[in-house]
Amino acid sequence: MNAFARSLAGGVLVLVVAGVLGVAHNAVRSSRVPLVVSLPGGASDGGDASPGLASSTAPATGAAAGTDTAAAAALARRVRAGAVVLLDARSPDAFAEGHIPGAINVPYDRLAEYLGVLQERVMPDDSVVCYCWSPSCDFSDQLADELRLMGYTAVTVFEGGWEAWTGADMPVETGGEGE
Amino acid sequence: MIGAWLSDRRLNVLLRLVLGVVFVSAAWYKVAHPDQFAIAVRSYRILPVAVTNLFAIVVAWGELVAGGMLLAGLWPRRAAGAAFLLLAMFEVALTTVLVRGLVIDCGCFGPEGHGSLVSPWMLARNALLMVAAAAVMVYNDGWLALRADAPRRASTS
Repeated sequence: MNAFARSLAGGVLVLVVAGVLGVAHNAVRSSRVPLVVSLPGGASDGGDASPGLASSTAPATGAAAGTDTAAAAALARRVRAGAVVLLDARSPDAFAEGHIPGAINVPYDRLAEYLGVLQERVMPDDSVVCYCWSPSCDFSDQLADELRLMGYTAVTVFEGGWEAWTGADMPVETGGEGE
Repeated sequence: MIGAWLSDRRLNVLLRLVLGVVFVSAAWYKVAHPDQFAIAVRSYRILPVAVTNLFAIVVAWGELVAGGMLLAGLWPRRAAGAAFLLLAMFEVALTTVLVRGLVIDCGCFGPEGHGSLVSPWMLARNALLMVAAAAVMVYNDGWLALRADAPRRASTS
């Protein structure tokens, strides 16, 4: 066995020992994380389900235009009433070009970077609605899953997304966090 | 030629220390916040969600232990072997991200802001670290190490 292979084999041993240490450390720390992640089953609608607002575990329905309009109108009412926190899972550039008024930009693909924003502006028991471009965009579903893992209890997805919102001639807001 | 250069014991010790600093600094935030590192792991969309927390813990501690051993000079070849394995895994993960066109935070040193999006430059940086780790794995002779893996080369001075 040459020097490289010997070192590699030794490296495997080092990683095994490190892994055992890590698991042991996690077991005794106060803020331990579960070793096996399980998405909360029967994801919560927060008791305020509306047409077009679905948990990510619900089958995609490919909402028709009428349903999209109704869902957008229902969402608009809830936004006006201050009943929900809206999270826009699209990129900062897309957000700056236009978003649902009052939405907070939390791009799913840069979530680690936006954790501070999330924790500062969204409480775990807030009723949260995530959206992205359209029903075929999965960032809103993935963001919703991640929020549930983080302990947010009332997370739903506005399935029609930005397309449904603008298709229903709802007001939009521009600017914000683009780059 | 390159082999002779990489086997220079002063350069080899320097590479060991640089790797150690990189790994310990990369591990620091992850060990303290494994839940946040697990989010970065999930954003790569490679592993099943169920195992991402465990994976995050093992990787964070792997980096910390390997980096600490490299800095202290404890079995540096084996520590570099662990570092090489981790770097090889990162190289594969980063490559798949670029191939799939994902725009995600690397998560390499914790949440660092916009400069840490996965990019070809990151792939090149990682490859350079792999070369450094390989040099320590093959050529480190235990000079200035607390505990060498291989018999020390006879001193010429």
